[in-house]
Amino acid sequence: MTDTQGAPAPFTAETFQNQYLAAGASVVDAVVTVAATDDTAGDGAGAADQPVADATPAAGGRAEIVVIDTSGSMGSGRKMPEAKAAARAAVDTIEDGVAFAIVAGSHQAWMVWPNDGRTLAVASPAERAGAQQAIDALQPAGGTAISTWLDLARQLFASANVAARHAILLTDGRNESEPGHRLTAAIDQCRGLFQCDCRGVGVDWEVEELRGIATALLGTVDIVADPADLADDFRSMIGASQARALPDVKLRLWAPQGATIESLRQVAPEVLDLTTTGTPSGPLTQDFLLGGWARGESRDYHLRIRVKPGEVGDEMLAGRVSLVMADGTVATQALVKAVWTDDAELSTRMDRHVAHYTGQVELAEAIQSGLAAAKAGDTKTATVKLGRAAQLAHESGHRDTLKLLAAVVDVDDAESGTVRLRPDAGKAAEMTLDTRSTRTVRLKPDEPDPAGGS
Amino acid sequence: MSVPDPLPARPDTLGAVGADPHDADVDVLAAEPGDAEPGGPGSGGATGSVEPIDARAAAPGGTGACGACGEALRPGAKFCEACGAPAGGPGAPGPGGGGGPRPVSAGGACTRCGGEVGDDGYCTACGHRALEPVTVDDRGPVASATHRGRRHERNEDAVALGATAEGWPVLVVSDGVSASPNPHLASAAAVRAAAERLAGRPFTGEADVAAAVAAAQEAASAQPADGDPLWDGDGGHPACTIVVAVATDRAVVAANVGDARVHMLRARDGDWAAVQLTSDDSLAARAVAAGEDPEVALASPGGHTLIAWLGADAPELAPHVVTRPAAAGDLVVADSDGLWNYAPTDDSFGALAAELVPPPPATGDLPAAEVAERLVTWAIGEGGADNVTVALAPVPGEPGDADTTPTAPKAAPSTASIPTEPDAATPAVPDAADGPEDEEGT
Repeated sequence: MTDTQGAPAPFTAETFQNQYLAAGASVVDAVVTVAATDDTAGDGAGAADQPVADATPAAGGRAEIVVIDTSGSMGSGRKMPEAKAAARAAVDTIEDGVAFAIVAGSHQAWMVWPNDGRTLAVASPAERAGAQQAIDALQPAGGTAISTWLDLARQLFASANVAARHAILLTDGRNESEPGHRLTAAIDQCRGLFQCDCRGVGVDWEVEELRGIATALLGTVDIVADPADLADDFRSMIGASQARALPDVKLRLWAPQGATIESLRQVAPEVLDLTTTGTPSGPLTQDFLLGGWARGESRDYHLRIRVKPGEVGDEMLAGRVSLVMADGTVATQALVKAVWTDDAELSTRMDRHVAHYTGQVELAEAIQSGLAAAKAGDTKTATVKLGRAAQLAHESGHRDTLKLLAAVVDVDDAESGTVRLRPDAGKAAEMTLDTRSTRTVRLKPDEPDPAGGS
Repeated sequence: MSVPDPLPARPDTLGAVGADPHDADVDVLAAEPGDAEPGGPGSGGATGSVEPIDARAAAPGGTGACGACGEALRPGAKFCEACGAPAGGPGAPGPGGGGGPRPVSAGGACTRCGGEVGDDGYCTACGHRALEPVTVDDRGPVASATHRGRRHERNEDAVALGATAEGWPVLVVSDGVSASPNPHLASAAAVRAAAERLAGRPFTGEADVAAAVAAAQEAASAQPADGDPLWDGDGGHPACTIVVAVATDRAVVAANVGDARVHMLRARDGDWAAVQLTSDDSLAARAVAAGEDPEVALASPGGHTLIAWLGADAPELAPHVVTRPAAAGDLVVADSDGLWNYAPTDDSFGALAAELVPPPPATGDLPAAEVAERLVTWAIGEGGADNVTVALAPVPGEPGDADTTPTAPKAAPSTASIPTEPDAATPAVPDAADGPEDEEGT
């Protein structure tokens, strides 16, 4: 189907900022909300009837690869059987016509399906049945060298001329069979070629390691503490991937001559620091890969640009955010402005969106550094950081995070950030808090905007 | 003496420069086709048609300096070391300029850095919002210039030029009150109505400028209060100020409501000296009248608060009307506070004129458009805190005519019939003070 054509504006973008700066000020903050238009309503079939076939990009469909850890440690407990069940559920969810492969990983990676020399299978009842039989035959053995898994996935994706490429990577342990730089190099090679959601099962894997892969490859990271939950999780990841009708979207950020992009972060639905991932696309523009988008999806970006200060009364375009489609067309733009004023009442206001997400980023950092300190045995720092996290979560109405925090610390007083580390905190609770620390809550739209400067 | 020739070739031609340079309305100033032949006696048979506004973009200027920040460039430099703007770009140093103020904008190029101005109005290189070119109405020795300035979203000033039946220049400037809805409509309607009241008709003196103000009040009051995207207040009526000046061959006759001004420039020791002819209807002016220092009064909070204006909710109309003897060689300037705020006293305005206006006397050779643009550009350079508008015209006649130099009477008679030349049209209505509805064609 030709989703990307005929839709008048596949994206909308809106800027929230206080554009007023005091004389001499040079830092411009803004939150840009980007939304993929949900235009399925205009289609007689209705959204529910046509999610997948219609969502397949015109330029040659999509490919899905499921990478399962089959290292020796997977043999303990219910991990291997549940991982197999999850892989089978994922295969079940792959739509007819979608290219797919199943990869097994230990200290090396190999093809589970297809297993006849082809790189990718094209989903059909027969292919799905074959894949599931092959999955059932997997046996745990060997170590863990994740770079080999990524390398194989990358080669398989490269063999397919498809527009959307997505992988799921499941592991239960650390990347212990190779030096760390091998993994870093492998991640860099995959950047921009496919998106990868990462899942850790059990509590013996490293949150930072998987977060590094997921962040670079524009995917999610989560813990599946109970292996029985894997199948549902895999189904929903494949479903979400297939709903991404708009593949390979880029954010193009123009900033004026002499300006510096201090930071560009996705801040909703979760924090993702994109600052260092930009590649120059013109003398004053950088492109940041955003991956695929589902119709109706919305994400918020916080950007901070340092410009050369203007004179009072000057108005400057401090940034222009453009959404660039896979075919290079610019879908929409949002402008970030700076107006210098001597009216302190104007310049001292903080836009509530900027304030909100600044707090959310700080919350994620407080959780991550607090947990790291606890792990290193620095109880004092851990208590301070996690106390601050409780305070921020309380202030921003981040109830889910507060609940997760309560499993790790006793919150005596959220308002003042008074907490005590729980000696009985389980590792799973800490890892859950860690992996989900980057999830953010959005502002309620009905709150008045005190800055009014957008 | 005859009707002086330094005046526009079509003496009764009348034009207005509206708030928005793209506002087509300003071209509708003239009598509609099918209207009665306009013009009173002595109109010379010319129609009241309006020429398109001659808005010219300034040419880039300056040499050896960065077009963006003015810093001196090193020889052979590709970029300005001070601000990083490219040197030698399309807006960088070029011919002309003549040492005048830095131009505000040059066509599609950013005057700060020479970069290309994008469709969204921002420079694609330095990001600064490109200032639109100054809108100039060039009628030889008579001209006007107006600009939004730096801080206001739109230009709510309006200006109209015209000439009486005698060929005497008519200058009308109006400043829309930002604290009212649709002030730009009020000011545009006001200048149009006032100029129409005077253009192409024999001029009799103060009664006529008062009648022009009355016509402006009527037009401003008729403007709608709703539909202004920039107005977020409740209620209110469109409001504006007005200043009208007619430069006859022996006196300047002016009327004003609000704080737009008429200045007369006269030679003194080989350079210009200025005198404000009009009286501001502002709290500051009131304070000055009570002995306050003008600079202090204007800088005080609320100093610019108007105590009289035009519009449906205006106080009872009581224009200040003044006649000041003048002679060929003098220069009449009508200006909004966007200009005079930066030169609020006679001394500072005179100094400004000495800097930016060619030395006296002002003659038919005066490059009025260039001067008007220079003054507006200067005000923008000073900060452009408000819309800026200037209209100017030399007092008609040949400078040095024996009978027109200094010793004119101190004050003209208050109901002022301006003495006219025998061969100019004799006023058909000696004192038409209450006849604004007495429109053309009668």
